[in-house]
Amino acid sequence: MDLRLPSKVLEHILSFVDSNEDRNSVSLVCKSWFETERRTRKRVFVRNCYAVTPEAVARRFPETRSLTLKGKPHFADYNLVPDGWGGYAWPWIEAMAAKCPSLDELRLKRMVVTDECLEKIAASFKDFKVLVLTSCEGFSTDGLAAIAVACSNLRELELRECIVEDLGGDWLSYFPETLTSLVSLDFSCLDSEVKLSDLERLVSRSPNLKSLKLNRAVSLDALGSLLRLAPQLVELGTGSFSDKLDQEAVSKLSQAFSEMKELKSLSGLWDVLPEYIPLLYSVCPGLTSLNLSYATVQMPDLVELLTRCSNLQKLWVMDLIEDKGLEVVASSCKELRELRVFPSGAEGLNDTNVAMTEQGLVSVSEGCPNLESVLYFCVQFTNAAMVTIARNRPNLTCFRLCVMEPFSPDHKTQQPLDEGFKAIVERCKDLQRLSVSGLLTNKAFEYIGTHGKKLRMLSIAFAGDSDLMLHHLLSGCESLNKLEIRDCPFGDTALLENAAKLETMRSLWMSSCCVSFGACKLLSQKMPKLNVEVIDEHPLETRPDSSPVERIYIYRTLAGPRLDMPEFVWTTQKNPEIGVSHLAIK
Amino acid sequence: MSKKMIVLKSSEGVSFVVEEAVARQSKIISFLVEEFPDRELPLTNMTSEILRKTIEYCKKHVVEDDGGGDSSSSSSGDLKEWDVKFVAEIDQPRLMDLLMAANYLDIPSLLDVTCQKVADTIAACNDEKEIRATFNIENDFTEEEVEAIRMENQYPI
Repeated sequence: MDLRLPSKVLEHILSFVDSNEDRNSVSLVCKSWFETERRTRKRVFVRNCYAVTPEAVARRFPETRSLTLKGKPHFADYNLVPDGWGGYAWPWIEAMAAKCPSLDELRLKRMVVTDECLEKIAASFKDFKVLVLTSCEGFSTDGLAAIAVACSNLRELELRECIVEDLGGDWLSYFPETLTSLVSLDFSCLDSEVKLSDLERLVSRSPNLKSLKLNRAVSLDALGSLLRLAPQLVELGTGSFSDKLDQEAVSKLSQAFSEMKELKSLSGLWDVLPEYIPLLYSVCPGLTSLNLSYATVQMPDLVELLTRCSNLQKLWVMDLIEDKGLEVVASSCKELRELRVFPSGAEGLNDTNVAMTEQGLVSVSEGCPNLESVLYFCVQFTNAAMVTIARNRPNLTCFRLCVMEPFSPDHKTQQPLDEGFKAIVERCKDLQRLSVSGLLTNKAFEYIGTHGKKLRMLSIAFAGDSDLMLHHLLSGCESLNKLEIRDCPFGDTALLENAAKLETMRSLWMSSCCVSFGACKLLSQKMPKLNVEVIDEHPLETRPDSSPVERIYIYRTLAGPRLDMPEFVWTTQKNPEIGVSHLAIK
Repeated sequence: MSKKMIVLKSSEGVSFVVEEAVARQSKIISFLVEEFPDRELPLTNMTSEILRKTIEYCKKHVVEDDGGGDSSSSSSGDLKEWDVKFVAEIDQPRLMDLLMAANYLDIPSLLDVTCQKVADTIAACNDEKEIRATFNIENDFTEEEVEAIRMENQYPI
């Protein structure tokens, strides 16, 4: 059979091929398939905004409707990336505005988005529908107002964990009266109070609103009236949950909650008072997602809530839940897939001793057969616990354990946690993401290198004896995409020996390790497809090759060296003088 | 009440007598029977086998669509199931012929079903080599071109 499909027909076929992985395969089949694929790709996902130029993306995919972009390295979440490092959205928005006018969806993560960016979006894309900013910064509520005014078909506006210059709650009043298309609104990261009447009007003219995440400034009283206007909500983030209400207001709020028949996700609940928890009972059985990471509710007040959440799949909570609370989760929430336990900081703040150990996670691993993703902050752990968890849950795909005190051994045997992590990587064959902590030796990394076949992202802090560890990881872990390391004694040898491996990875971050300036230079010269950035806010007068660097960020790129490097980022291209050994840096 | 019939002729010259309502699911045939009533329509680029399959599909759909106006979800669900089975039973080369027939005769629902099946087949392939083998497509890229695209695909996109 000679298959010369008319391009219209191939176009039609490709309209049913959604995943970008499949579309990437299609692009490699032959010239005509490449052409048709690139002309029709609507959703583009760029995992590192410096790995390719915006112009190249806009040129290849002119019909892009939805662009997802990631900027800063993941460790920016832990304040390890200095302000002003980069990750600017502007060049992307400018290029898209020029070449892809039909863009209607932007999802940006860890990027600097200025008010000018938001104004450009508002002015350039005629039918703009979705703006989701996650861990972004650089804009103010004025920029949001610009989006509100211009985007009359807006469906989603979500600001997740963004740092926003908050100039007041007026921005919300800029949504035109004709806007009725809103499906999702999340302004939980803003501080200012918005006018309740603005919010009520907006909610009441949005019949398709499915997700509403309020900020802390929205009172409990206001919540009641909003819920009565939008009983169809599927996701709700409440505001503050601690205002004093009279009996009548409480019973009205209770009534409003009981009419939320579709609700599946609940978050917010800032400062929730124990006496208000019963208000939530009516929605508990329907919930699949519960985020209590802002709710300072403690045991035993949590018990009644959790026992009612029998369909929960995702639970984010502070360590105030304690081992006892997780036991309740284990026996009540049989559908649980994802558990995140964050530190409350309660230990240092007052006299309450939070009883949060490895036992809580062991319980959940026993009770919840679908558990596949874990993020767990705690003060102590044991090898035995990890062995049990691995045996109970070989289906884990994500295991991030953060023992908060660096170099903590197994608190029962005083041994390193090597054997525990061995059990995890050995038994959990589909593990894709791993964070290790506690006292670890080379052995742990030998195990991870040998068994972590599907591991894509690995985070390491405060671990190790020597270079050998990094060598184990880079020579093993064949699927590894991202490696981030802080405060470990890894140095030049392993890095240079495995330089070729770095070209198969997306990125490597190392801070407070033992990498020398000379090694960075050498790596940069040897590997032209890599950008090797030395990030050093405290440059020395002279910088001998042997001097250690504060941080390095290495990523593969097709775009060459970036043009927006701040002073404290050093590369051999930008600073050619450092290409010569023993030369002083000006 | 006797139903109006029309004749469709395959590339081998085999005549198929079909209810007009069945054939009219093709927008092209619908147009032709209005312009040229009482004539048999030669479909010279369609084998009897493919024409028979196309008619089978159209018959099923006209019956279901006429089902007394009760388009309950279960009957449309059954029809979907029937469609899936219908394309599942056809081998790859004939599926492509059927797809081209749907395209030529302009039968949107049959085009969708066959395209979906082809898309599923593409998604089930592990890489571009398997896609080429499955659809018998010649690779007209140079090695350098493949490498350049592969890098762009692998790096960020």
